[in-house]
Amino acid sequence: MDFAEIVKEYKTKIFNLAFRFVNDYDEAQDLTQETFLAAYKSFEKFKGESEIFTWLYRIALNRCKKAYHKKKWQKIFSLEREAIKKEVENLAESKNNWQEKETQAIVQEKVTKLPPKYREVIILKYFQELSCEEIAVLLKSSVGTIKSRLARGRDLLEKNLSTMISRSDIPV
Amino acid sequence: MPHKIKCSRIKRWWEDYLEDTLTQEKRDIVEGHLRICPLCGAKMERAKRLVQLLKETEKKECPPFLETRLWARIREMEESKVKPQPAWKWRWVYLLVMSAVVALILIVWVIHHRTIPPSVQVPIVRRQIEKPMEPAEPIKTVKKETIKIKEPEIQIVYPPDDGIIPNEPVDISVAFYPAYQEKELSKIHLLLDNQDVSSSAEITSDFLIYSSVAPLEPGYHSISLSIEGKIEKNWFFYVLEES
Repeated sequence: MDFAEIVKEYKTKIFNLAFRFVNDYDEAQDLTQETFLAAYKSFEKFKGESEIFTWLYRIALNRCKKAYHKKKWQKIFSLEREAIKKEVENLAESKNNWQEKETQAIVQEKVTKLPPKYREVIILKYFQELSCEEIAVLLKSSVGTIKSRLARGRDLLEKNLSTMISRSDIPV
Repeated sequence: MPHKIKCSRIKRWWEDYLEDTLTQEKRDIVEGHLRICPLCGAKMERAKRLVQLLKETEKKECPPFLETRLWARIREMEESKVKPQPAWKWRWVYLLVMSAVVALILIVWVIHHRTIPPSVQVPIVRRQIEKPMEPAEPIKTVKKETIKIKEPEIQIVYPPDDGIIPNEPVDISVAFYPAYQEKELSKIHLLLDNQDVSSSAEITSDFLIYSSVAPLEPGYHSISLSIEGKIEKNWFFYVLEES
C-alpha cells in the first residue's frame, strides 16, 4: 500500500477523529494535515509491525492531545459555543433536520468536554466504531482498562445529557 | 436462575452485552437479570439510548481540498530535500578547508614568533660574552649584635691625684662605674706605696675604701690600682707635715 492509497482510505476517518476531539472544523483540518505529514516523514521507517490504522490513529491522537493541552488555558467554553453556533447557522434545512443537527452539536460538545482519557475511548468506540481490543492495542492498554474507561465516560456523558437521554423519541 | 445473579456480576458483562459479543447463554442471564432488577434495567436503557445518540451522530465529510493541500505540502517538503543548496550541501567541506587554513596560519605564526632569526641572535650572544660576569653579591648574613659590656671606669674620689692632704689617717676611696661583677672583685688590688693593702680594703662592686690606721708619713705617696695584675690607675698625693 503506497502513501497515496493510505491518504485516500484514512483521510475521512482521521479528519472525523480530529473533529470529534477538538470540535473545530478548521483545527480538525490542520490536525489531519499534520498527521499525514508526520506519517509521510516516518513512512519509510514504518515496518508494518502494527496495523496501518493503529499507527495513523496513534499519530493523530498524539496531535489531538497536544492541541488539547495548547488550548487548555484558553476559554474553551466560549470558543465551543461559537463553534456550535456557527455550525447551527450553516444548516439551512428543515425544522426537524435542524433539531437533529442541534442534538448532534450538543452531543459533540459534551463529548469534547470529557477528560481526554475518556474522550478518546468514547470517540474511538462510538464514532470510529473500533472494538475494545483494537482500542486497547491502539492506546497500548489492557481491554479491561478500556472497558472501565468506556463505562466511566458513558456515566459522565449520561449525567451531562440526562434530559436528552430521557426523551422518549430516541429509539432504543 | 437468572434472577439470582448479582448486579456486580452483570456489570462485568455490561460492555460485551452492549457490543453484542456475549454468548447466548450469558446474554440470557443478563437479560433475565435486567427484567427483574429495575436499577440495572434503567441503567442499561440509558446506556443504550446514549450509545444510540452517539452512533447517530453524523459523520463529517473530509474537506475536498484537504488532500490537495496535503500533497502540495509534501511536494514542498520533497523539493527542499531533493534540491539542497550547494552551500549547505558542501558545508562540511567548507568547514574542513576553512579550519585547515586557520590552523595553518596559526602554526606559521607560532613558529615565526618562537624562532629567533640568526641576525638577531648573534649580537645578543656576543653581548652576553662581552659582558663581564659580575661577582655574585655575597649573601648578606645578619650579624648578631653582640652587646659589648662597657669596661668599668675607675674614678679617684680621695685623695685626689697630686692632692695635698693633712697629716692624719687617710681614707682612700675609689669609685667604679659601671660596677664590676662580683666574680671580678677578687682580681682588684690596691697598692699603697707599692704595698698590697687589698686585704685591709673594703671592695664592693662599685666602690673601694681603704682606711689607714695611722697617719701616713709626710711627703709624697703613690697609689696604684691593678686589675688582674695590670696597673689600671696610678696617682700621687702629698701628706703635710704635722703642724
